[in-house]
Amino acid sequence: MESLSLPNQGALLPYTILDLSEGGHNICGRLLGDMGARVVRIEPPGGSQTRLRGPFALDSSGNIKSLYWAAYNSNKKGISLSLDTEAGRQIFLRLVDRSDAILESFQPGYLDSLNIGFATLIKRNPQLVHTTMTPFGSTGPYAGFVSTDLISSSMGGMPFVSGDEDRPPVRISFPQAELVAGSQAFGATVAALRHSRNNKSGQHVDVSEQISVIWTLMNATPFPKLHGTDVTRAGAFRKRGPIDARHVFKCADGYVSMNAQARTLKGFIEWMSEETEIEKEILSFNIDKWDLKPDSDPNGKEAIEFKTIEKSIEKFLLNKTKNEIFERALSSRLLVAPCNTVEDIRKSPQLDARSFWIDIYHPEFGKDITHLGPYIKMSETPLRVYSPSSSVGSDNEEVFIDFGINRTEIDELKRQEII
Amino acid sequence: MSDNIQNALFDGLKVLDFTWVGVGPITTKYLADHGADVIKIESVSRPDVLRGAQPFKDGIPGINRSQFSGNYNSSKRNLGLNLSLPQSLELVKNLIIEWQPDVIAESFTPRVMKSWGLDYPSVIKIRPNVIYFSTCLMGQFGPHNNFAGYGQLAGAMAGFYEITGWPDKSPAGPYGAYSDFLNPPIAFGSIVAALDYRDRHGKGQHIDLSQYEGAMHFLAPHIMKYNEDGSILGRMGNEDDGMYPHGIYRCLNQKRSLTDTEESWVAIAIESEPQWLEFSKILGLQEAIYKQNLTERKANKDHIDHLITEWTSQHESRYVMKLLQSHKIPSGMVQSQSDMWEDPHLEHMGYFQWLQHTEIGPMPYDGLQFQLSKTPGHLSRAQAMIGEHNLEILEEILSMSPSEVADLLLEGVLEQSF
Repeated sequence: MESLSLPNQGALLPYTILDLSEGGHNICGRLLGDMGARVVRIEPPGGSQTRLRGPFALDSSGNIKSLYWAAYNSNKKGISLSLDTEAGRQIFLRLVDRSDAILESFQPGYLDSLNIGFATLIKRNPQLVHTTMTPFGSTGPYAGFVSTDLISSSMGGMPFVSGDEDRPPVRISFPQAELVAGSQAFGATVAALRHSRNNKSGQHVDVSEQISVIWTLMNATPFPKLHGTDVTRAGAFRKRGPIDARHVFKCADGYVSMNAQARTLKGFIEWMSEETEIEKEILSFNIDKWDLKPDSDPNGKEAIEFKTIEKSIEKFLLNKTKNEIFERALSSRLLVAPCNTVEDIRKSPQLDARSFWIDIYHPEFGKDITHLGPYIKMSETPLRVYSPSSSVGSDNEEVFIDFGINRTEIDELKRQEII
Repeated sequence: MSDNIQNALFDGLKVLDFTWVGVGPITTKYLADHGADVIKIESVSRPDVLRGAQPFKDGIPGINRSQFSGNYNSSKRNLGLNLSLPQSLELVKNLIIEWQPDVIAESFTPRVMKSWGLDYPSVIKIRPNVIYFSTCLMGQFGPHNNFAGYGQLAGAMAGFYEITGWPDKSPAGPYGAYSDFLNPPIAFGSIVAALDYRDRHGKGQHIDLSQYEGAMHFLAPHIMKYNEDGSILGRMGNEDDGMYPHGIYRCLNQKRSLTDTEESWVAIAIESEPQWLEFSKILGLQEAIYKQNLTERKANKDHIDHLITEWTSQHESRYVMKLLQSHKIPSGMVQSQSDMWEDPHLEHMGYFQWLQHTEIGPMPYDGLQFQLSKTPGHLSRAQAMIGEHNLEILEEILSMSPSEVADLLLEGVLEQSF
């Protein structure tokens, strides 16, 4: 664990961010906070709805607490503030006056209806960066649609290309749409902050979950216009010329994923020859000369050779563990890697060598919680994961005083249950 | 709004780009699409491997015809250089000395730039305070740092294969090289943060992005959960702990205008009891069913899914989506790529774009990932051919004459794919 007394030299040290976002959009503020920005997480006095999102773990008294909240709200100060009251909104505006950016994920039009939308805020603070993260962006025919991860992902095209052919399309079992939007918002917000600093000019940053998901579709989107086809789901297989090539193989203790390129296939033939009696014909295949094109004959010589090798690899791997296969991949430079579970990840020697895990005492859980460490390493401005997620309003005093709201005002806000 | 538009975000920013495949090129594309001058260095003998991957213009392969690589390399210039020759490395070093790029980006395994004498410690001798961005699968150091591969493998290692698909089947994986799309926005933000720091303090730095580590942050809560109680998230199909109905249901087959795809699906997610009652009314479900709470409904899943499918399969997915949305019930089409090309909302956003490629004409591009109100991005050109800007770049930066450039082309130092 890094010492808390080290001077914070994060690249984003000068910036103050107000984070009103919910759910996976919280990753945006976390990424900013890891780089040293002062991120103030604003919750309604009753607590953020993100605290109700799983997965959960038990605290030291046996109550369940959200790890989702803990994961994406570390390195943030926590205050509570009701935007439903005029007095609360006046306080919010005073916070905005002294901030560089706000992050929010309200339904389009909601902040405008409270008279604290972008137009109002930028007038008060012309250098403000106002970042919104919503399912479909701020304008357009679907901007008012209600959404969840399944909906944003589906409209962004990921399930259509994922899953098995003989079952319905599937989403990734851990919600991604809000997170990918949150990470796009991070990049855009940093860029807009720098622009604001250099040009004394803030602006609106608009991020859509749907578009953020589309960008994860790799090469799929141009297919209709160039090939007149849609990419479809194929489970453990991928198209390789005219054949379905396996990219997920079962092994002794799970699964591995492979790019069956010539060098890797040859590496496997070598490995198999060392340990088993492999079919002689396989040794005669001229793998380097294969030229499997979409219009090649699916029953042609090369396609059959490919399938023959694939079959023997399938059989061979059944007796190998993920670890054994990965060790071989490392030593022989094969394009194969384990389909890790979260347990495998936790045991990765690579992550240990890079000090990826950071234990921080978490007052809400009453014990140390292991956090994921920095998402990137920067030599001059190392990222730090130093502070656990806050409890509702736990930093009210400190933050409000910092923002020039005096103790009498704070007491009055408390009395009115605005904070 | 238009009189408000200011200069592009990265006007005047100079980026020397050695990256290839996914994460690197996508990262520098963010800079290029927002005004940076990005010079990509590439060779014909060892081109960006995505140039060999489909989709291709008219479905026909060719080094200048791939839109897989095209999509990640908009708005950049291209210098064709055979880096296996010592003269080429000399030329690169002169380029760095004369041009003084703000950012140098590379995405090889850690040994490669070093073998060329272009690693961070070497480069800062000729270009102090550069932002030097390195990314590879596993990071610059550690026992597995030289493991090379694609985002499909990093996606599998970061846990995404194990959690995509059905519990009774093998992992299906999210389509494609998933981690290649999680990492670039993080990398982009970090590079800009480093520039911001340099604006203030004058110091450059080395950035090390492990694509494995970056991707894991998109699964963080479940990794933390394993730490706490040893539970392991598996494949759940489309199930969700807190919602039901929650699934993808078959709709009436539908002809598409761009492709021969017919199958059609709709996603429905019921978040609350009021939504469930509203949904039950639309489907005309009997009291014995609509009175069931979440736990009861989950126990009765097969039957309820059957009733839902009976209804959805009589309608087009767009109809189901619009009807349910008009009742504020979360629902959406399970869009194919051709559906997205005809999505009126994406049309409104101006998402898909066509850019004119020098050799093969108009090509379809994905648009910007975010909208900035005062400094909007802009895809300024289609992917360049390898060496398309050889003369322009070498004249401009190294004051070379056309005949000197022609000589270097003859010697094989410079290359071009046209």
